[in-house]
Amino acid sequence: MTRTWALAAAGVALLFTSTLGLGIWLRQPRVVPEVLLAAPGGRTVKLSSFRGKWLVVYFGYTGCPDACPTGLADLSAELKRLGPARDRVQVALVTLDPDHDRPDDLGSYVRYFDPTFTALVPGVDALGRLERHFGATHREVIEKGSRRIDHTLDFFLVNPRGVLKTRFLLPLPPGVLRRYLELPSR
Amino acid sequence: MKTSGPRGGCPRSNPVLTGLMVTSVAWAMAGTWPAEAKPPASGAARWRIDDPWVREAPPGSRVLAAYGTIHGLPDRPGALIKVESPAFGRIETHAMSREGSMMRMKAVPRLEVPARGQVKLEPGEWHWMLYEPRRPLIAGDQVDVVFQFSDGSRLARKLPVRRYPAP
Repeated sequence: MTRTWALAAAGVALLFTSTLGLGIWLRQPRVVPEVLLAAPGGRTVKLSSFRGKWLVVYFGYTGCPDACPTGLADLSAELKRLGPARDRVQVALVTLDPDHDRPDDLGSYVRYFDPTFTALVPGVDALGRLERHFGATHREVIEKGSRRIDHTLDFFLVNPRGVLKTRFLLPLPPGVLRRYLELPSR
Repeated sequence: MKTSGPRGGCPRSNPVLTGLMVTSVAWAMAGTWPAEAKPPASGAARWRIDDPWVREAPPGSRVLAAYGTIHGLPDRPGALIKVESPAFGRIETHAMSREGSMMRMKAVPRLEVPARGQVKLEPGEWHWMLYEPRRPLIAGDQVDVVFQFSDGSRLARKLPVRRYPAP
């Protein structure tokens, strides 16, 4: 009896802790929350609007001098290496500075890195819900009169069914992102 | 940001700590004030910054970053204490450190450089943060920047503005 339970537990553990190289494969995949987000062109969308594609979510802001432009440029380069699978991926920058970053300006900002990237501006409540769901954090710091936002650097990968599957940092070893995208969507 | 001491060790170590360690050793050996407190001797070796450059900002961005590799003096430690440019309202040296999944940025008023060591500032790591650009800058522009060191010496450089990564 104990042995059966141990085997079952091991099986379950194996099922839910497959890490696929780097990145943390989430134990309890969850459908992303349906919050309203302002997008360029006066549109209002939800993360579910991107269903059917893999969605890479990054939290950043236009006043970010180094981490965001480096992350988004590196992500663009990483996606180019995917080849044809690139077309199955949508990237969205969610601003951590919704009071300053307007949707159209944020749209121009992300298209600088890749013309297919999109920008999303959440309300303050929506930002909190998204961050809690994704496990992301940020903190506004005011130092000697200048303001900046320290924040999570991870990219979050949501599958075509709207389920958050993993988070990752770049650089990834070659082929790892493609392996993520080849996984069955559950 | 990467640093390496006289023996080339400690990549990615804390430059402040490295600098402090080297400074303490210099104190102990000399039994006197650190060499950097003395005025620079005429004809003394100069500070050097390799490949300094400014990253072109995406549209809508209000701040820029610059990078480069500072080479320490051959005979004594020192520090970068000020960076100025007529093209910007203010420039700060920023350290990056991880706190869980979050990256924290912190201004470093004094960037220690060990004797014969080097401190590398690069994208995604330590950088110079350039506030209040006086005019829009695009790849191909040049920016005058003056780096001021703890021994009183100043290094004026023209920094090219580049896109990252290079297209």
